[in-house]
Amino acid sequence: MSQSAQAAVELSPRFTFGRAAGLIFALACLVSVSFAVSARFGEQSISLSTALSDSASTDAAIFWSLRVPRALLALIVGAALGASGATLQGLLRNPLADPFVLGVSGGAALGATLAIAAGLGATWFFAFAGSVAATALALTGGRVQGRNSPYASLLTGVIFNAFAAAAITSVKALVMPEKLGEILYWLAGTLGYESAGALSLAAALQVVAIGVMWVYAGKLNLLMLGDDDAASLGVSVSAARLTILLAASLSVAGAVALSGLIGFVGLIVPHVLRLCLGPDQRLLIPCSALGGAAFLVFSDLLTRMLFTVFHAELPVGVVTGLLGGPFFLVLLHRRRLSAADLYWS
Amino acid sequence: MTNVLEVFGLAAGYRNLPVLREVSFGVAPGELWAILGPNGAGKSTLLRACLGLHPPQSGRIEVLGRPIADWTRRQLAQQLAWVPQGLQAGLGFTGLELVLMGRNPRLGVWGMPSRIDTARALSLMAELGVEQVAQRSIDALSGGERRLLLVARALAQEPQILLLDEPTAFLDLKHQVDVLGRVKARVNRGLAALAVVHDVNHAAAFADKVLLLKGGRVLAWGSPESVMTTEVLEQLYELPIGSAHTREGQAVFAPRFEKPR
Amino acid sequence: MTSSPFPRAAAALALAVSCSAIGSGSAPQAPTYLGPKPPTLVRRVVTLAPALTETVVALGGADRLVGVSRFDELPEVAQLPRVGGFIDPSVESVLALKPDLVLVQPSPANQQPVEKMAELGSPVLVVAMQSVAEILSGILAIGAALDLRERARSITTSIEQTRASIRAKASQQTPVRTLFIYGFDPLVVAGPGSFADELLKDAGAVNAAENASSPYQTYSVESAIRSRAEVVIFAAHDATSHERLSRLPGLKQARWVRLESKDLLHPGPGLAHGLEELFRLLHGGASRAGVQ
Repeated sequence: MSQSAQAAVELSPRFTFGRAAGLIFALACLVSVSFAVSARFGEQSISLSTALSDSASTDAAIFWSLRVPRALLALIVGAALGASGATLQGLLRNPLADPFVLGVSGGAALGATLAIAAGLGATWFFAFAGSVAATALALTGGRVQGRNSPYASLLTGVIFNAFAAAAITSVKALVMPEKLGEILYWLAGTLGYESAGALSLAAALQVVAIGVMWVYAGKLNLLMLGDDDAASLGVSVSAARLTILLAASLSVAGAVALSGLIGFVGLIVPHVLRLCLGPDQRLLIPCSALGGAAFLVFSDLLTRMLFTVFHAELPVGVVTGLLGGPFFLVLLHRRRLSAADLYWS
Repeated sequence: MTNVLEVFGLAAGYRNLPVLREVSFGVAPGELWAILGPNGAGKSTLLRACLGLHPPQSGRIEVLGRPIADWTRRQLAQQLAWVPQGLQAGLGFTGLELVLMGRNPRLGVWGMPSRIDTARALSLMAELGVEQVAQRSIDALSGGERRLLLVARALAQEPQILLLDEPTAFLDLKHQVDVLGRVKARVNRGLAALAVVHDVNHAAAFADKVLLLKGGRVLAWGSPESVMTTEVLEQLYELPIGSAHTREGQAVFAPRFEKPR
Repeated sequence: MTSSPFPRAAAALALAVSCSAIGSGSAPQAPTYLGPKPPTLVRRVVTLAPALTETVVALGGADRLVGVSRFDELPEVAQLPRVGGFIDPSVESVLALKPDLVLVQPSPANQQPVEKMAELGSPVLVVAMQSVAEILSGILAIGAALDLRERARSITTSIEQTRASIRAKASQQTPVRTLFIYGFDPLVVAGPGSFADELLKDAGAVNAAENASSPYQTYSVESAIRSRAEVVIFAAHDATSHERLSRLPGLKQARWVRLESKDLLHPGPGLAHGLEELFRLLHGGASRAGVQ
């Protein structure tokens, strides 16, 4: 065996089949455990044996009609936010990007606000449409002199969010004050109880969107080097960028339509995983999806357990922030920061 | 020997700003071409056009006999590789991961490298003298090591043509010689290479052919011995140039500085 | 009651504001049932708003309450478990109490949880309590559901009688331009169609905010000045804001009156007391028979 082949046995890139399979399996176990715990515990204590055996009992109603759908929703939304957060952080070459940065939050909020103000039903649809429109705008705004500039996209998104906030404020001033409460409640980012149909649709959308993001993860690695580098390495840059952006945006729009704006998950989970696993998107995207799912399921459980204390359910975005923020700071502090970690160009 | 890269009457530039005019030349296998010229002459534009990143306004570019527009990105990347000047900071990839990216045009959807790919990448790194940085983060490396990794990445594509953008910029003397020397060694084994070079003496020492660009037009092209005379260089850089020969017979050029009185 | 009523007042205002999203300015909403039919003998009642709790207590059904909202402060329900707020009732907690009947005030914000409760087998009675008419029909409907019809009818009759007597007394007074302020930051006044507006009319006042476009109207300070109010009634406890406003020209001349009874803050069975106090505050200077 030649020396370099021998070296190959010891040296390898961080993305190998074995490592990926192992990590994904471990995280999938974590997700399953948190799902089970979240369905088992909650505001009321129920007996699992009763719930499973007696389908007419209150315990069964609570377990199957409330707990399980809610945990599933948390799983779906968490996975969407995690995967799209990781994707957008790579696509925009910005570790501070979150899934809402390309104007999704502004678009969804504006869509929902206008729908509520006009008294139209199906707020989720208008939120979805609004976030898709906003992302399209960010995409168009990102084309500078015929080239895709991620910074122009980011800037367009940030500006659009500010514009949407101003538009929403004026809508709030003009509309009946009674609609305010409804708007604010929607924006607070909460997990409710969705029907089986809505959950199936959402799950199908996320499977497709996250699947596309994962398939394009290899190309995303190359795009992170730069558009010219990626092109010289065989990537059709415009097509790849567009596909990845669409997949990420649809994923976020699908999550926001159901749950409002739940913050921190899409920012913190990929960032923490990147510190542990490295920048390879082929690992980061599936792990961020699973990590986001586990994180949100667990946060939702905490939200519901805190009900006994406050007699109110805090929006789950509050819990994700309170949990995620300090944990992230501790992790950042522990790791030895290399000079490169401190800045991204 | 047929040229692997042919440029015919190329005019390229931006909408209101033409940069290149009437550029024609051909690169054959086993030739290292150096593109020389003052700043703004259009050297980078020419390189980007040859990469297919800058569509020509008129004229055409052919790679392996086919117009560049007929190639898909993937096919082109299997024949034509690029060594850029710099690398994005803060990415966090290791040296080996960076070089393995060069295998992308030959791998499947995920770009999952096999053992053979990894072995090839490592042997390339050994050839270029950077095998020791395989597991180190590229952000922690010196400019020279990074440049050599980029050459390794380009060679990992197994191209027939190598395009280099100022391969010696910001490198110390040793690394300047290192990079050019190793590229030349490859060229001697059949690779075709086109390098934008800012140092006249590097061109004189390493290139098989030079292309002198001034104001977007070809001033002259040919072997260094025939083309690189003080008259031509003075015309190119609009500067008085002096020349000398080392004991080994290598031509050396330097601008003649006026000593202040 | 020693605890500050302010959070309760704010919550009541929030509920009133959100509830008036439905049927603001339109025909009064009749009480409707959702979900399965309640049993003939309703023993376990959960209420999701204080006004509904007060109605049940006034009807004499306090012993049947098993769960209330977290804004409930009546001593009769101090020991009962809390099941959440207006827009965030906990479906799980309600379900676990196995109620025979859940009383709810309609609001677009709590629609999803309430429908879920009904879907999962809890009988729900949706009772709007925004206008006087709705309060009366609500009391009757709740009385019917709890099989306390006699008591319900006596309460509604007594309310009607009080209203009639107050209206009679008021017809002998000069109408007073009155501005009714719910809160100062932002400045929210009772506009036409609101519950307080109805009572003002009964008590012989002209609502100074008659040109407002909604029952709970956010006013600018200028609008408040232009309303030319002779009396300003305020229910909030924010002393500094009240002082700031009461020093402004146009409002300086008005008589500023703080409302003690909270019965006027939210619609409920105690509206008769609120009406009497309102009359006393407006015309109390003139001593008339029957006015305490």
